[in-house]
Amino acid sequence: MSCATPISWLRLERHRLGELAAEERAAVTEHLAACADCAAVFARIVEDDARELPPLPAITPAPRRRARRFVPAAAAASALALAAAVAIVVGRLPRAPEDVDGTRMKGSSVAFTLVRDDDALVTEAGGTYRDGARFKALVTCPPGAKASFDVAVYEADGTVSFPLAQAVDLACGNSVPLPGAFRVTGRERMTVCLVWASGEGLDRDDLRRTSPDLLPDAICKTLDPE
Amino acid sequence: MAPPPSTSAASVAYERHGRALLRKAERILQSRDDAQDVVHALFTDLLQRSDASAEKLDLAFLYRAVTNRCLTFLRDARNRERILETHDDALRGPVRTRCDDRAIDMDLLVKLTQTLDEPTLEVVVCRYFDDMTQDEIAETLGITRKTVSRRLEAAREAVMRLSSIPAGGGRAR
Repeated sequence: MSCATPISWLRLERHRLGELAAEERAAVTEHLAACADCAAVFARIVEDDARELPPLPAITPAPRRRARRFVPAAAAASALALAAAVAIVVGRLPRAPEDVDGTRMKGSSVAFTLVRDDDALVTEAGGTYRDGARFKALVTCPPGAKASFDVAVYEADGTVSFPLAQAVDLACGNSVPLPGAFRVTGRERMTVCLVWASGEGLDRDDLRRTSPDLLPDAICKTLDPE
Repeated sequence: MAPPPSTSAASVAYERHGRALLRKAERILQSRDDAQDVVHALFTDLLQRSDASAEKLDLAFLYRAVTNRCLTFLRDARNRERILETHDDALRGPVRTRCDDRAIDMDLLVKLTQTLDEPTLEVVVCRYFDDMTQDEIAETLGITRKTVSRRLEAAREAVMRLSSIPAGGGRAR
């Protein structure tokens, strides 16, 4: 017979962490003693806590001051010693992003790097993908600047998707990872674009309607299946 | 040089709550890799924000953030297609709360992400994946119990529609 009023995962997690008040803790303990369903869930939590917590990806902290020196794309890639860089493209920033102190920057550049994250060795330079390959996107842009970035994937059949959460108001730096990773599947050529804008983010509906080669502020890379 | 307070708060929060959040993301996405990506993306953002105080980063707040990121993930057509093919049912965990007699499995959840609005989906996850009561959902999301009930009713109707079960009778549990 299933539990009529199960204890939520959140409460069980907080029970495990010792965050519940005494009265609530006692009530949960009593329920667990009488309910096999909830006891099984709690046992799962306890068991799962033994597994190693995967370390967070390295974050490049945003510098507090604007730096005048731009990092070459090759240097950005070399920072990824354990990963294989498959694409590095350097482009101009048509619209300079906001600096941290509110001034405008000119002559900026952006580098976009796609990095395979599946531990496989990729000896050849980019432009290809294997079905199911997982990628992370790194952005190098002028330290001290801020901009919003998105990754758009354009497929041959016209499908446009956005595999990552949009990074709004991202603090620029050297090889700043966009949050998350994405997997590339299929057997067709696709175009992966890094798009950006100063201010409050990008309108994905606009991006869907725009061909990659007409995107105003973007760096695109065509990927062919291996 | 000592890290800024926000970095420290986010790191501490990850150490303390990371496993619980990974479990939660795995329940929804039923994929370890994708769950890790979602949770890491959240903390990557938090590490770069200056307003991420330790007080704010409690488990309830982070739970909600992971819910919304998982739903965003599932709304993307490419992610949806892949996860339908590769998800691992075992990561869903024991199903203790059902919508009428129907478990919200991956196939149904994916359909719901294309049908329901974001606030309703958030309530669906709280109810059917996190097993919260309506009162607990109201407290966690800062909405009234009546609103929770209304959203669950909308979800139930969608589930019936998507499951080809004739509508009528009963209330959302």
